[in-house]
Amino acid sequence: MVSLVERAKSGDREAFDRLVRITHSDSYALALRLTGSTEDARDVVQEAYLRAYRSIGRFRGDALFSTWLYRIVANCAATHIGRRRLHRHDHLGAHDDVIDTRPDYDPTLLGDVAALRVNLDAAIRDLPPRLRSVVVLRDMYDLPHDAIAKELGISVTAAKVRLHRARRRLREQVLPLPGEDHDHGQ
Amino acid sequence: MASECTDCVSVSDALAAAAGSDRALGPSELDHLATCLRCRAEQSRYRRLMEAMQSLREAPTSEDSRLESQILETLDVYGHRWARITNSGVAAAVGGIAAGAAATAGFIAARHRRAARLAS
Repeated sequence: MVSLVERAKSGDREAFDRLVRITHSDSYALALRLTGSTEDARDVVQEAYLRAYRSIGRFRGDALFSTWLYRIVANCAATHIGRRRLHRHDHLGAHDDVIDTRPDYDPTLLGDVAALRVNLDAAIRDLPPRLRSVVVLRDMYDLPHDAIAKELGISVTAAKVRLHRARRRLREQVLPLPGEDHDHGQ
Repeated sequence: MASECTDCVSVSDALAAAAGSDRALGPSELDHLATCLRCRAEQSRYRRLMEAMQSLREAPTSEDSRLESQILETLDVYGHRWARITNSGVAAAVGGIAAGAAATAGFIAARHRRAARLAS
């Protein structure tokens, strides 16, 4: 991977194409998590690789190539979501009602890791985009707070507030405490 | 299980922050956890949530088989102009910026046209 990146930095298009082949599945998975839509994820990934191609000469190598690429995907997704909101007038406020996609409360199912993953996947998709972005980038892709804040165009404090709010929502929805069953997402 | 008290509310906020090791719990929060079953249960749930988040990342995502070729085609159409200009040296830097902006604008415009077609 390192030698491919060096070759791509020197303008070797074939090396960049190989990097695309190696990394595009992971980039698409991140874009899909951030946008919640296969169509949007495809657009985001294409735009991200175009930006990466144009700016790879400036990649200094002080982070992993994959981390650098995640940041570009995150930035493209934030731009894309913002544009989509402007054009389609989607209502994406933080206080939207969350659709409850959980199966009926069942301690056996809750104890099952696979069921937890299914429920969590649905709960992440149900989060408003501004909460979803920070929790996916931080808790799934391990990006540092300052990188997340920079790519999303928000302050580090705002990124942390959104992250903690997102975690709380997810926890209440997929792993509720007794008494939270009917008031999660509040 | 104990009902939620003021300390529980305060500790609950700290648990959400501490879940991903964003910060360590303080002495008063640890003292509260030592005696509050509700907050310990919440802490345990956050641990499971973090583990599930990591395992979700490793789960395979269904992928469009055409994606790779679409990315490479996008680079063919909009990327080569940029590469040619950047390889030609500093003298073309200003032109390169303009070409890069034009390539991005072209890409976005093409995408909007496609979206409009799909919407109609």
